[in-house]
Amino acid sequence: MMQIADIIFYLTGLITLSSALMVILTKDIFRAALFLAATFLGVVALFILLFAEFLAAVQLIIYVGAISVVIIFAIMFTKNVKIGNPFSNFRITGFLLGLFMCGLLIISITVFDWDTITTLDTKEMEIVVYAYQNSIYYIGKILVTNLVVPFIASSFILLAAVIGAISLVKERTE
Amino acid sequence: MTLEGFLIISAILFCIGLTGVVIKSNIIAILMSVELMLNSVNIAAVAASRYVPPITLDPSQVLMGNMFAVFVITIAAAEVALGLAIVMSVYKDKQSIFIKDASHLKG
Repeated sequence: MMQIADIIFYLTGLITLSSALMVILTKDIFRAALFLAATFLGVVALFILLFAEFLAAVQLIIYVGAISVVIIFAIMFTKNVKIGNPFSNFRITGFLLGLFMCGLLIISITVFDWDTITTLDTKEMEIVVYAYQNSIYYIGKILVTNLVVPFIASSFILLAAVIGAISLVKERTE
Repeated sequence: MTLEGFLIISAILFCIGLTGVVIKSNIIAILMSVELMLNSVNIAAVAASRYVPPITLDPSQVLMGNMFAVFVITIAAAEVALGLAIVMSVYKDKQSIFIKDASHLKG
């Protein structure tokens, strides 16, 4: 008996993975960037299926809204859009490496019995459902209590990245 | 829709990104493959925080996987800004965005 959520899950996974495959297989780099945006949208749908609404919104704003646009701008500023996505000399090696890693990961994931660690008793289930229903409140609370040091550190990293990006691309005036 | 399904999607997405990093010769395409790998890690972290029971019965401990994903997204934004700035800088210098031409540091 297939639930409707399962059908949506398989469709989303199929769309995400096939557009991710098109990113690395298509010759036209502009189309690759559009398929990358499609992959990000598929990841947004997966986050919604996992009940992580805050992360879905963040992913939609930052990845689909900002990073895709910046990548498309970079493609537009550099020439050779039509032939801009060729393979390197390591084509065979890369495909073999990817297939090997993929097989290894899938075998190790399927062999392990996940039911031993994912069975929640009713008390834990209540806590998980409660936390995900009030996720915005608890994410805000974690950011200013438990994880305040990584929060400040990541804001410094963003500041340094902005300054570094500006100083890398600005015109040198002697 | 189990933890196993999400982890398999995440593993395949990671391997697609890994293949893309190796087989592409355009720096922007390599950056796009790196983004795919970072996204796959986010899916794995959020799925684990959803399905694996928390150690303590504190609601803020349940959402730690989501916080992982938030910080990964922050670092990914910084990474793509710096990476594309380096691409533009190389392009101004060599009029090319292929890795075979970006060999300034080769002795």
